[in-house]
Amino acid sequence: MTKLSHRRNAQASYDEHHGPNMTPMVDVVMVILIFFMASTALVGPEWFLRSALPVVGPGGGVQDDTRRVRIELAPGTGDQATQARVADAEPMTMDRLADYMDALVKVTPPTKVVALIAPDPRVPYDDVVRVHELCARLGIQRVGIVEPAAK
Amino acid sequence: MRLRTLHTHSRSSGASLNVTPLIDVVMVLIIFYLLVGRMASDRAAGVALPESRVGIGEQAARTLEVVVAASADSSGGALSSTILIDNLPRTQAQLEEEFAALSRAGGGTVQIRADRRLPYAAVAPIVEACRRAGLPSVRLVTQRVEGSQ
Repeated sequence: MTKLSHRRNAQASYDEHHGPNMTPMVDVVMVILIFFMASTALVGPEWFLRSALPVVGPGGGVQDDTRRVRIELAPGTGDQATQARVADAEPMTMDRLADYMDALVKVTPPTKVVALIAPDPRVPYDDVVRVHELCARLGIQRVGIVEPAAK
Repeated sequence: MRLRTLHTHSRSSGASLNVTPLIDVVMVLIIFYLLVGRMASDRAAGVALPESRVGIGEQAARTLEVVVAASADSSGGALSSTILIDNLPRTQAQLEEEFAALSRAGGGTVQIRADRRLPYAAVAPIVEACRRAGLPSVRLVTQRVEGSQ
């Protein structure tokens, strides 16, 4: 007596013995993985420093207990690096500015400090970002870019 | 006695080629080359961003990205800058028009992606144009460095 074959076709035979074909699923997962990896690389190692653009008007707009710090950036003479000047202090290097601001936020809470960066057009853009980053690192959230004082 | 011939290998049940994995692999390769090509063109824009250890990562709802690319003169002297929006160079007037349109549309955020080798003079016109258009802030795009918070 012959046994009726259950093997209607090769696909049914394959599924019966080996289960569903996983290759398409692996490929789709790989596509999704590559998509997310590439998206991360594209969006990736960048972020932002938010700078306010204050407009000085008659109202002022700054609370009484807020300390406004104006940081003037000017190009150094000769081979000197960018010089920073705060209030009536002497011009200082960027490293000294970091120490100055560090001491300032120990006296005044950074939430009460408004930093206004007034860069000379000849100053490297990188130094402007460095000063902004310094303020952000010290916890000063309100940082703005203003025009330098007219000479 | 009649023997029934068992057809264990009928023509209709022969091994057929499953093309689904082939299509998936081709799709993977196409997407890979599209993305790599896009990344290469972005890198080729040649904007060396300033570095920072702090920053904010989330994108704003409505942003307008302004690229300030640096290019060396043919004489190898000082760098010159070009202001680009959507990879197209823009004049100062066009810049102000774009920012005014952004302000009229309810505001938004201008992201400045400038080369760190440039003087601030290359970026100042953008900042001033934003201020005149009434935009309250700009974002300076920086590159994360190790040890970032």
